[in-house]
Amino acid sequence: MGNLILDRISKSYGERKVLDGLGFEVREGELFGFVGSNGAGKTTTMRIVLGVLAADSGTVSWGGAPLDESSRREIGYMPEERGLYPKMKVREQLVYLARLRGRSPQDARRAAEEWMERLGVAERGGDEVEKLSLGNQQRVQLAAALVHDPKILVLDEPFSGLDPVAVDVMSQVLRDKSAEGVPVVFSSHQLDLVERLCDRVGIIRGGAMVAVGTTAELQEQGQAKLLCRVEGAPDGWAETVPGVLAREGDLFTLAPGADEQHLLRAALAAGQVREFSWRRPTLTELFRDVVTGDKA
Amino acid sequence: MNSLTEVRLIAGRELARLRSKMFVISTAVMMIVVAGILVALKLMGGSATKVGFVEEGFGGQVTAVATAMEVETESRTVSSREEGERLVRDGELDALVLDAPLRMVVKGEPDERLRAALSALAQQSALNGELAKAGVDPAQVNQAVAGASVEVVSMEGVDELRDTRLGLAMALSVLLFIMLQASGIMVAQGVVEEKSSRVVELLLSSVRPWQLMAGKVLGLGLLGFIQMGLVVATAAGAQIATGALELPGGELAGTIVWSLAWFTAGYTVYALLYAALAATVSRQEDISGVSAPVQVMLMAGYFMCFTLVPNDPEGPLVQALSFIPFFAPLLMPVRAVYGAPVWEQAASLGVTLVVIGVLVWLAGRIYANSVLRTGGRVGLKEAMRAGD
Repeated sequence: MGNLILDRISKSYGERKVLDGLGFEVREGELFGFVGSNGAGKTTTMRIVLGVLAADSGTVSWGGAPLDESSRREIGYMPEERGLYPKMKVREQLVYLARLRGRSPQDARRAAEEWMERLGVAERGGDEVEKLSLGNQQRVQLAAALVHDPKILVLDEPFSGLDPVAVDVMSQVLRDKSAEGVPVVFSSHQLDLVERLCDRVGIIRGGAMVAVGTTAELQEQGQAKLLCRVEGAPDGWAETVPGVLAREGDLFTLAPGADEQHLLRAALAAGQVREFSWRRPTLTELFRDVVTGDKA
Repeated sequence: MNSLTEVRLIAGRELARLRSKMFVISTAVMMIVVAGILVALKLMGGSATKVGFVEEGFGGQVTAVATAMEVETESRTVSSREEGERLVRDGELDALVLDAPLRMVVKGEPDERLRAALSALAQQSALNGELAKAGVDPAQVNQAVAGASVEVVSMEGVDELRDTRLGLAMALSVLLFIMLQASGIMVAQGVVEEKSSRVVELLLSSVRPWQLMAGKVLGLGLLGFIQMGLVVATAAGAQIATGALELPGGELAGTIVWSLAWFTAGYTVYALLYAALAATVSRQEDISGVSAPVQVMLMAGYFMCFTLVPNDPEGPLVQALSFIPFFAPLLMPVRAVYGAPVWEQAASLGVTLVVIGVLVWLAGRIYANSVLRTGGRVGLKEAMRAGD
């Protein structure tokens, strides 16, 4: 095992710069969430890690050595564009893919059975992939990423198109793999899921990392807001309170160093205070701030 | 695991089609057709006309004349005229021939060649009678007449087996064309299947593009070679059993060897072209459009086999064309039927191998630069440029 490190990766398509000195690290046994809006460069990054695309500059290393053809075989990959041979049987296909990554026929067969069982598609092993429902095809796709017992997992949008049960199965598999010490990196637009699942999160924007850290660390970087719900208060009761910069409904943004007690007193004077607390921003809010805000 | 192991695995996946219904059925159909043609040829060509006679001595006389006129007959003595007529009616005899006067009893239409032979016999005996009346010895006259004939001077020599060769050449060009075409299309469809199903990205995360292309071309090539081998072996077996083709065994063996060699070379040329072109499109429907130039070349070679080669198999035009690697795989094995020299076969094969070397590089490049790009068609110029 080892840490997966991306260092100053750049990639352009013609004039368009897709990745601009991107770098981050996924540690052993860490679940790393990779988020960013469409076109930010997530898929390109993953393709470069897999060697499907070559970077213009920068390096990808694992356990201290640059990833090469043989170490790349140890990666389990789920491409954004899902795809399996539609007319090949599930079991044969999984065995074939494991063998392409250097597993022995026996190991490949055993692992195929194991993952089909675990992902609940064992009874479909003899069916052609195209005969399965989309949900089951997704499960086979995940099995295809895991069947060679990868030492690194790179999954592009693994949760898209999954039903809630499959989301739970997938989450558990990712947790288990990271518990084995595998660095796991996955991209997702389901930020609540990322927040719940990931040890660390990286937000990419315009081909560069704009924020990396644990959810708690990111939350500290973001500005906390004050929730203040008052019943029976007239509109605009808070307009004259010192230190209030902005208000969205019951959420107040205070100037740095301002005393929230001023707001509480004003609120008590205006009506019945039902709630008053500091709120950390959610990942979704952070994401919105980071992605829409000026490039830091 | 070295890179050839992966190529072997990929080829093995393609070769698994040996068990597919389509392969089994198409191979069986071709084998049956080839064996059927040879058996039918034997039955049609070799059947002697069955002639019945009442008198045995007369039968010998008729058979002698018929043999002289190259009409194959099988004579049978019948007990009486009535018996003979019954056999003709039942179809057991083609004709009953009676003497004094000379008559030929048939069921419907008479066999024209037998009729001509009998007419000659009648004329001969009439002539003999007249000669005897004139006091000349018919035997002496006949001897003098028999010695008179025309001497033939052929500028190019006569090939009595010309028709047989033509038939074999036609059959061979049809077989080669079908096999090259079908195998090439199969490569194209396989490449596009991986693109359209998007499985190609998953594959290319474990193997290099050249390995994927090489494995596919090798696997499907082996599949085609096995099919071609089975069909050719069936033909050889049927030929040995029936002897339908009256060509010398050595020539036939040469034709078989060159056919298999040229199928292999031709398949490689066309498979590489098909693989490269198919990699530039993403949908099965687009294959025919993008591969049209290759189709045209293959068809052109096929038509040359029918038009140019039979007229002048050793002519300078045919000779020149059969050194072009896109036509050679069809023209050369067909020319083998006409006994083209071995050095020409070998030289043309050498040229083709050189071109295959160039095509491996070219197709590999186009394939690698195009196969991950889904959506619209990738321009060839673009595909040729250094990609990533």
